[in-house]
Amino acid sequence: MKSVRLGLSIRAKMLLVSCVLFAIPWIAYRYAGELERILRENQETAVLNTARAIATALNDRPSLFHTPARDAGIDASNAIVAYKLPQPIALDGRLDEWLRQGVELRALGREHVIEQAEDTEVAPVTLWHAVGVYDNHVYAAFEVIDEDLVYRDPKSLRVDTADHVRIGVFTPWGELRRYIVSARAAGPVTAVQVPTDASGLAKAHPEPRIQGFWQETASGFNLELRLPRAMVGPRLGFAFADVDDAQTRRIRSIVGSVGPEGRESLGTAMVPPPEAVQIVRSLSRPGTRVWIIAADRQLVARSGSLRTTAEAPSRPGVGQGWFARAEAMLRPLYRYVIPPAPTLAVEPDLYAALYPGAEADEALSGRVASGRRRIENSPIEVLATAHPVWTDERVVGAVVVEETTQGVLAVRQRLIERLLSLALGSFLLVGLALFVFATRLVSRIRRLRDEAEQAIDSAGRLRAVTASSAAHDELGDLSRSFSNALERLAQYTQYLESLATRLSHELRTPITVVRSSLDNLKLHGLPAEADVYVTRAEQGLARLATIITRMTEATRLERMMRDSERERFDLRAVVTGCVEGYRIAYAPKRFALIAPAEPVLLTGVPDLIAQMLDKLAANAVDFARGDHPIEIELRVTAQEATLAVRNIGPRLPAEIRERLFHSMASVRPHSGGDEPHLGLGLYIVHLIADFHHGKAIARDRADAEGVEVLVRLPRLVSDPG
Amino acid sequence: MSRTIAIVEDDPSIRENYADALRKQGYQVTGYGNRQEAMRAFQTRLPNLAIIDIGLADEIDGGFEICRALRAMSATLPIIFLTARDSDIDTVSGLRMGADDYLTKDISLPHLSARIAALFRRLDAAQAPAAAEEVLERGKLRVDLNRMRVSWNDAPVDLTVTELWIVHGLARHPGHVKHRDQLMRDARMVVDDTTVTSHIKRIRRKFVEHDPGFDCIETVYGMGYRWKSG
Repeated sequence: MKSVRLGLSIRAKMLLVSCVLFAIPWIAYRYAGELERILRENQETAVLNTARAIATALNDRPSLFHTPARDAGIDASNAIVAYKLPQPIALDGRLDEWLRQGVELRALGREHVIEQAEDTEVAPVTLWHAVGVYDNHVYAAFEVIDEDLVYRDPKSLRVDTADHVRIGVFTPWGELRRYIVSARAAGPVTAVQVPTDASGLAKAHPEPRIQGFWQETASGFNLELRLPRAMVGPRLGFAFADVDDAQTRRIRSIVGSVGPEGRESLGTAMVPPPEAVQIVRSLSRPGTRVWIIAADRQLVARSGSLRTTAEAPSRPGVGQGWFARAEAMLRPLYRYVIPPAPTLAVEPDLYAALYPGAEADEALSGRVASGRRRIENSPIEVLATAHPVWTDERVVGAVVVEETTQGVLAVRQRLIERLLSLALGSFLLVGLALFVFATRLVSRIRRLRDEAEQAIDSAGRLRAVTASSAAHDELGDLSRSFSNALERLAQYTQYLESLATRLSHELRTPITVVRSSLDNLKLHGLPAEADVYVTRAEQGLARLATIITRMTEATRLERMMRDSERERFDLRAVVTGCVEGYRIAYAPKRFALIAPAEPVLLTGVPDLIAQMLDKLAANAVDFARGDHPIEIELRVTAQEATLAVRNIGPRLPAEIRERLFHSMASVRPHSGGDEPHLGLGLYIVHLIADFHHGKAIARDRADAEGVEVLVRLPRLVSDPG
Repeated sequence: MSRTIAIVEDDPSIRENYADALRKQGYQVTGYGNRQEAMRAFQTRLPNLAIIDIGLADEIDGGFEICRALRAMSATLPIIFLTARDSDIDTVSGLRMGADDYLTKDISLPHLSARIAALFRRLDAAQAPAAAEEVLERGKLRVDLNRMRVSWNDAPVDLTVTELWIVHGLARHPGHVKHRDQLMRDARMVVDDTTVTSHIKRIRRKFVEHDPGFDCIETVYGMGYRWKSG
């Protein structure tokens, strides 16, 4: 059996070829990109439509864009934006609640210092603040960094001789109100309304509707306030007045969004007008943020959030099956290949009082404009479309609809994942199918190969190849071709065999001519000196005749075996007799016989056994060296009789060991004796052993330099007749 | 009057060589190259003995047909098959057709003429009354070398000349092992061992046909054969 040569087997090659399937993920990736483009376009259209719808709804509602405060034309940077709070704020001075609701505090630092005592070098305080709206209340939070807290003098009625927060409010009915919140100690506080004129600080009276909580912290204090919404108009301002010296109680600095003293300096309170919010809400989509901008770019209202409550990764209904489960298991793996879809962590431009993009300007000049801007440190883009709002042929404002590409990216992500799973699945499936197919193919080819290898047996006889011979594919063709080739080979072998017979037949005629001519010559009475030549010619003829006889020996033997009748005979007698004969025939060569004392009964043809032994003996004599006797041993067990012929001499040549019993295998040196050798001797041994269901093997002797030939003949063969 | 011998042989060299040699011994020899020619001649006049090659030109079995035709014309005419084929099948089928001997072509001329002489002797003895007999008797066996007859238990055994000589050679010294080479010499032929073996086998079979208990020819493996006087 030949070992399969190292290298790629058909199976490995098929698997390699199936790697072509890895093109699927690549195609998927390209496809996903294409899909993303389409989705983006769709999104742009949708955003544009939304913007148009909202703008249309806002058309001819100039009141929405016109507020009394707007006339003042103040600096928009002072604007205070009130956020819609999802839940009410508990007044407890803890600000983490605000952060939880997504509101961040804005810092007012050095650049927001309004007043400062001359001797103060550095603004000692920092004010953080935030404003939110829930239901009918406006909430405000302050975190003040102030190292020296000064509370109100318990003996004084004055509220402004301690650290205090000033509030300026422009009421909806257009009146300016000022309030001061200071504390005698940490805990609940209420505001005090003070007159708006400069002198009036003393004439303060409490405003119990404005309540708050003063909480000391390690670096200052926190203050939470709650105002009724009805009190707050379009403008609002905060400031913190810092008093550090409990003795002098002098105000060292004021930090704030505005100087709450004058109506001009108040910031815009961005409490969205309910009407606009209603319209926007009814028309906007989730994940969309809508800005309504007045002609002066001031923010009128803002609604919605860019942060969508991200869709649950495993959508219900879709795939609770094994595929989804497998996909879920694979998802962490995909993370290595493709980055996860980004999510928007922080709402961008949450505190912007002005719309940050350029689209607004375009819209305010009467054109619809779209744009994209990238959010910092994120692949997410914000898609914005600005649409002008018209009143009487005049642009009174603009609607900006924003949406992030987060959804699109998520869809793309899902798509790539799904396609990846499908590709992986199909690769597995196709790979498995190819593997199974290749395995079957390989096994068929192997079977064919094995049969082809064994098609010519050791005796040179041919056997038909049957593997796949009935198949209609190429392997079947191959098998049939093999059979055809073998058949032709068989014919050729037959021709060769008959050639020997025919050759001997054809050669006999010329030999007869020569011989009969010689005979005739002798009858003529030749001169004496011619006799030697006649003798030589006759010797040559005899040799030629022997060659011819040998040539057909195997064929005749086979014919003889076909005609022979098996009989019960004594193998020991045959062997003993033969050895006696060899002692005479091959004298002075010595033969040593080892045989059991009792007869060895065997079923077979004694003549053939004798012929076989003749060949073995002739072989042993030819190869025997020196004066060592040739050993012929007959050993018997219940099952078989073993005939061994051993001689001292050269070992078996390795190159012929396998073919020793084949036809035409000869290892004799050509300088050999008078007898012609055609390499048929051991082949005849093989034929005869085979005829007796036995087996002949030749091997190097273990005990000495030389060769032994063993013929095992089973004893219990029932005679087939 | 000299005896006539017909040689049917397609090879002219062999035919002429045989014819020359036989003529020197006083026979009148006619050679024929093919079946038709020979048959035409035989229709007119039968020879005293026929030597026939089995394969004739393009008729591979032409010799058998001549043999059959001759045997139909004469039951006693001695016929010798001469062929290049040495297979046993040919031998058997040749003999069944009634040939008196069957020889391969490499037989020497002296051996051939010995056979021819023996066959004529047998023919003469059948026609003439029993003369001084050269007879060998071993138990039930009786070999008459003059008449070239063998009988077992007083029943004639139909042996060819070669077989008769083998039996004679064996039976002459009962109990002695006759080597194959010796038998060949006795049988006036040069053949290989297996041919001797098959001759012996055939001889045994012919005797067994008359006497199923026949076992006088004993094989001594490795050496030869021996006549066992039973």
